Amino acid sequence: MFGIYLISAITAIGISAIESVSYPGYILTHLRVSATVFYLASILLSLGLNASTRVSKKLHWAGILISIAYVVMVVLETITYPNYIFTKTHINLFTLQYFIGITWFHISILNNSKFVKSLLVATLIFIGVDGVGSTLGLAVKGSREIIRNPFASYEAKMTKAYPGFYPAMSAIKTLTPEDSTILIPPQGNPWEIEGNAAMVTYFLYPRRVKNFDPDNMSELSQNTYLLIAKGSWERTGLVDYGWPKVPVSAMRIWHIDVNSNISTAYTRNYDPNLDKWDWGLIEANNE
Amino acid sequence: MGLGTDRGKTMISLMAILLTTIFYIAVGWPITYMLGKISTTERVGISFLLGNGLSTFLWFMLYRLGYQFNLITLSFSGTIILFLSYLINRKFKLKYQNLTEIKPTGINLKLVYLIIGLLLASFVIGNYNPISGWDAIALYDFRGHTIAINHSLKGLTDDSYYVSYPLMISLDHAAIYMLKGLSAQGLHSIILMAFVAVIYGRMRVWTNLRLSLMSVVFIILNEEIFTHSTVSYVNLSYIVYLVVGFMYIISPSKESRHLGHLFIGGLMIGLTTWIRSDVPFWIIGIMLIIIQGWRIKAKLLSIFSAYIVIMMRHYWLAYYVDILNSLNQLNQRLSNPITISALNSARAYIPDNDTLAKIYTNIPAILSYLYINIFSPYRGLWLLIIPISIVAVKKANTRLTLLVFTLLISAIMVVGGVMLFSTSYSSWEQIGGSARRMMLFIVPLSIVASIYALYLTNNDKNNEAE
Repeated sequence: MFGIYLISAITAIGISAIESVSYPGYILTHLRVSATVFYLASILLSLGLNASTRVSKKLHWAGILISIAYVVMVVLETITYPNYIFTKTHINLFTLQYFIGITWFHISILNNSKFVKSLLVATLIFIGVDGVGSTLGLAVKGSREIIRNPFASYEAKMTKAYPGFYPAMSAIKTLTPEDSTILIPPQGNPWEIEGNAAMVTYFLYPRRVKNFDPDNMSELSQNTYLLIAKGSWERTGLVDYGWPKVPVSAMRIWHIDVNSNISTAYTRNYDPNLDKWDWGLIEANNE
Repeated sequence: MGLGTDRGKTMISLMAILLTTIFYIAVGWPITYMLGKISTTERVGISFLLGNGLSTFLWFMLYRLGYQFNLITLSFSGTIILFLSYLINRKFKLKYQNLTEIKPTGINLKLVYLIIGLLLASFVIGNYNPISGWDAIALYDFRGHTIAINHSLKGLTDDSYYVSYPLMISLDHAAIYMLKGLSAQGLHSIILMAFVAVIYGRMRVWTNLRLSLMSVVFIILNEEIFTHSTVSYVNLSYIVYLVVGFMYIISPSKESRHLGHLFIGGLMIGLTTWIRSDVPFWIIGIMLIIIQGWRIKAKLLSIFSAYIVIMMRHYWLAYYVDILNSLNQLNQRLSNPITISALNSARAYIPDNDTLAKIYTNIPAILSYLYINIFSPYRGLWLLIIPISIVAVKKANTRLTLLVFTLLISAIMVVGGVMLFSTSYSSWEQIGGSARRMMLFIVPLSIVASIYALYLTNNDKNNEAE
C-alpha cells in the first residue's frame, strides 16, 4: 500500500513540475487525463497511511528551498510586470503553486502527520507562499518610489497618478471662478476620466460640473466654461478624438500645456477643426 | 519647515490621523469592559473600531437632529458614548480586567518584528501615496472634503450617487480634513492595525501565542488585504467589522457565557451596515447571534443584539430612501443599492417561471463567472473548507462548526446573489471585480478557521470553554 502511495505521490509531484515548466493543461493534452486527477489520487491514497519519517527529513529542506524560490519569483513578478517570470524562465507560477502545495502535502504525510493536518498545512503554505511573495513585492514596489523621492509634493504625486488630467484640472481651477459651471464631454471612450462628472467634480469643487449636451445650447449661459479635451484614453470605439465637436461662440479660449503648466489665452471663438488641443478651456459667450 | 510646505502638510496629516485615532480609542475604551478579561493589544484594537464606528454614527444622528458636522459635535458624540458606557459599566458592575500578555521570544519575537514591519510599510505607503483610486476620489474622499468644507451634506444629497454608500469612511476623512490634514489615507492602515490586534487577541485566547501570531502574519501577507490598507476604499473596513463581529459572536461558549462578546459582536455587525448597506452578509451575523443566544441561553440579549443590527441598518436606509424619494428615483433601477434591487428582484421575479428559465439559461455563464471571480481568486481558501469541516465534525467543536457555517452560508449567498443579479442587470458579467472585492472577507475568516482547526488537530483538549 505504501509503495502504491509513494508512486502516486512521486507521479503527482512530477506532473505538477512538468506543468510548471510547460503550461496548465499540458498533461491533459498529452495523456488525455487532467493533472488534477493525479493530484487527487495521490491525496486519497494517503488516507490511513502510516509513513516512515526517514525520507521526509531530507524532503523537508527541499520543500523549504522550493517555497523560498517561489516567493522570490513572485516578488520579482510583482515588482516588474505580469508574466515576467514566464517570459524569462518559462516557469508558470500558477502551476508552480500547485507543485508547492502537493509537495508539502506529501512531505507532511511522510512526516507522519495526520491526513487532515497535512491538508491544512499544505493548503496554508499554498496560500501563504503566494501571499508572502505578492505582499513583499508590493511593499518593495511602494517603498522604492518613497525612497527615490521621499519629499515629492502632492501635486507631483497626483500628476504621476493622472498625467495630463491632473495638471489640466489644476489649470482650470486657476482660470475659472468658484461659482462657475464647467461643461465636460460625455462619459465614454475616449473621455473615460474627463467625462466622468464625479471625478472632475473632485478636482474642481465647488464649481458645478455637468456633461454637456450639444443639442441644448441654452446651457451655455453666463459664467459657463467648456473643457477642451482630446480624450486621454486610447480610442477603442467609433467615436473620434477631440471635444467639443461643434463650434462654440466664446469670449476667450485657452490652450493648456500640461507639460509646462502654461495656459495661453486667445480672444476668439472655438473652432473644432482649428483648435485640436489635448487640453484647453472655452469661456462661453452667452450673448 | 513651514506648515505651508508639503512636508509641513504631511506632518499635520500625520498629527490629524494620530489625534483621530487616539480619540476613537478613548471613546471605545470603556465599552470594552463588557468583554471581560482581554489583552491590552486586543483592547486597543477593538476600542478603536468601536469608537470609530459609534462616534461617526452618532455624529450622523446629531446631524439629522439639526446639528452641524464639526469637531465640537464629533467630540459631543464621543462624550455621549463615554457617558452611556459609564452608565452600562456601573449598572452591570463591569470593570477593567487585563489579560497579561506573554512576552514573545525566539521565533515568536521574529514574527512580531515581521508584523510591525509590514504594518509600518502599509502606513508609510498609504500616507505617501495620494488618494487616487477612482471610487475613493469620486465618492468616499470627495464626501469627506465637502463635509469638512460645508459642515453638512450640502450638495451631496442632490445626487443619489453620493449617498449610495453609508458615510462612516467619509466622516473619518472629514474629521481628518477638519483637523487640516492633507490626506486621510493613512487611517486605513490604522484600521488594519486595529483588525490584526483583535485577531491576535481572539486567536491568543482560542489557540496559542505562535498560532495567533501566525494568523496575523497570514492575514497581513494577503496581497488584497495589504493593498486595501494603503488605499481609501471601504472594502477593508467592511471586512474588518464583519469578521471581528463574527469572531465576537462565536466566542462565548456554554461554559464561559461571555455575554458581552455577543453584544459587541452585534454592534460590529450593525456597524458593517454603516460602511456598506448594499451587501447582505449582516444576515449571517443575525443568524449567528440567534444561534449563539439560544445555545448559551441568552435569548433576550441575542434578540436585542439582532435588533440593534437591524436598527442601525434601518437608520441609514431610511435616510437613503428619503433622499431617493426627494429625487424621485426610488423606483428606478440604480447601479448601487444592490440589496434593494436584489430584494425587489426576488420579490418580483423568483416565483416567475421566466426568471427561473433565464437563470437556467444563464447557468454556464454564471458558473464561469463564479469560477473566475469568486472561486479562482480565493481557490486555496475555498479548498481549506474541506479539511476545516472534517476537523469541526471530528472534534465536535461548535466554534469551528459556526465558522464553517459562516463560510458555507456566505458561499450560498453569493451563488444566489449572482443568479438574481444575472437576471436583473445586463452588464452583470462585466463587474466581476466588485464581486471579488465583496468576497474579500473570506480571506481572514478562512485563515482564522484553518489555524483554529490546526490547533484543534494538535490538541486533544476542546478549547471552547476559553
